[in-house]
Amino acid sequence: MKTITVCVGSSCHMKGSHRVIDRLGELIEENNLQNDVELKASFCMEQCTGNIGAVIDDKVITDLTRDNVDEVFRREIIES
Amino acid sequence: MMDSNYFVDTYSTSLFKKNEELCGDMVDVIRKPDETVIVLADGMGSGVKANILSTLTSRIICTMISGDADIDDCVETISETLPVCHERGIAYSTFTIVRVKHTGEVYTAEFDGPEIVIVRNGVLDEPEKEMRIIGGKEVWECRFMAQRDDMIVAFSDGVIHAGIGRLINLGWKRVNVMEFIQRTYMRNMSARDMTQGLIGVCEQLYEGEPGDDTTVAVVRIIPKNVTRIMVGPATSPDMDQLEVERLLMATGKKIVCGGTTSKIVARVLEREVHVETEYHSENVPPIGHLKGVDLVTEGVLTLTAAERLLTEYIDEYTNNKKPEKYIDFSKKDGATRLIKMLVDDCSDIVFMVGEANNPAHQIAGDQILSLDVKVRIVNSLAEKLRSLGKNVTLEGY
Repeated sequence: MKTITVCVGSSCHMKGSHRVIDRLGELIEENNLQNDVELKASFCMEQCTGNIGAVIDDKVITDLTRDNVDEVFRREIIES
Repeated sequence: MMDSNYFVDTYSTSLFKKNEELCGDMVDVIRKPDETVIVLADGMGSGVKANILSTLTSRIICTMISGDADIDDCVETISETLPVCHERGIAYSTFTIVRVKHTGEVYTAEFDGPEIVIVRNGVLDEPEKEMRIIGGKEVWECRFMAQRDDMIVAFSDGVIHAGIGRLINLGWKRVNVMEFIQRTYMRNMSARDMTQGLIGVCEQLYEGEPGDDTTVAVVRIIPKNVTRIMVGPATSPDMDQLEVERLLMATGKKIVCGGTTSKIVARVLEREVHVETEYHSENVPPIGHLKGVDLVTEGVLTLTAAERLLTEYIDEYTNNKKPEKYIDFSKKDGATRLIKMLVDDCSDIVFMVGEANNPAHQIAGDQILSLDVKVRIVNSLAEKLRSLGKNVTLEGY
């Protein structure tokens, strides 16, 4: 069981965390991972200066943007 | 001076008679620190003439009553002031007065309009009325002590005539209006909810073509309460504990606006914020849940949307014509939830404005998220809420 937590605070909201959450939800379904991956949201993760804040279990993800959700999902969830 | 125990929630709206640009019914509300006075007047005829008669009547009564004049003086003043109709040779307008002292004393006076309907503890109540001849007019007066959630529904005769010659031959009688109120009443229903329900039925019965000006005015008497909204963290972390303690002192709702702020509250309370992943609006980030707090939202984007929504609400509230479409308060986004709470459930509101600049936002260099913007929005919200009769204060931390 993995938990993906995405920041939906003010700054990340403006960078597109809405789209990221939607897409992650779709990817979890498309890959039938509903029982293996939990999607959560968090207010400000204090990573406002970088890309969209995200944590997978204890690992901080620093390169997530609205445009590379599929790629990050494949790398962090499917291939790891 | 006695303690002020109650807040008066009011809402009214009108259907204009078909092809008329002005309404012959008028509702006026005057709010003072110790009382709220609502007057519904229905001027003779329709259009401009009726509008002038009812405007003068409601305004004169409201102003005089709130200046502590007695009802006899009001009625005499109206009789002497209203312009006399050329065709009919009289000056005429009905009136219904509801005066609520915030200590709970209620006084009603009715002249010639349909009788008010009172809901107490969820059932219809008919307190005894006494008739007095004042200035040649039969005025029915009533005095009683309010209980929490008492609702008083006043309406013009357009309501009980709704449907005449259309869906219902003889129109909708007062007894049907009473049944409707009894059937649809729910605890915690706002004055706005009841007004919308009742005027909605009238509009249907008239099939969109009202044969008369039709007005509903609802008064709901709720206990005073203090809602506290924490907006932004304190300048010094040493203040966090104090700020959270003050938040929890609220006798009404406890609200936290701001992601970082909510994390501080959670830390002080030794609990966790659970943030929803579901979006109900493109512009408003999801809400969070924190035990002991009634509403947790993101900060400045939610407040910006909330301010826009409150502006729309005030337009709706102050416009006497029923809007094509009401603002939808059942939406689940943070901004709608916030405004619904502030408008429907609160009497006193304290904005607890933390004056720390969010370091994260500063580094990000985001002008939209700056403290100045937040303070400006809070000031604007405060001013708009005051215009709705709310007692609003700001505290800095």
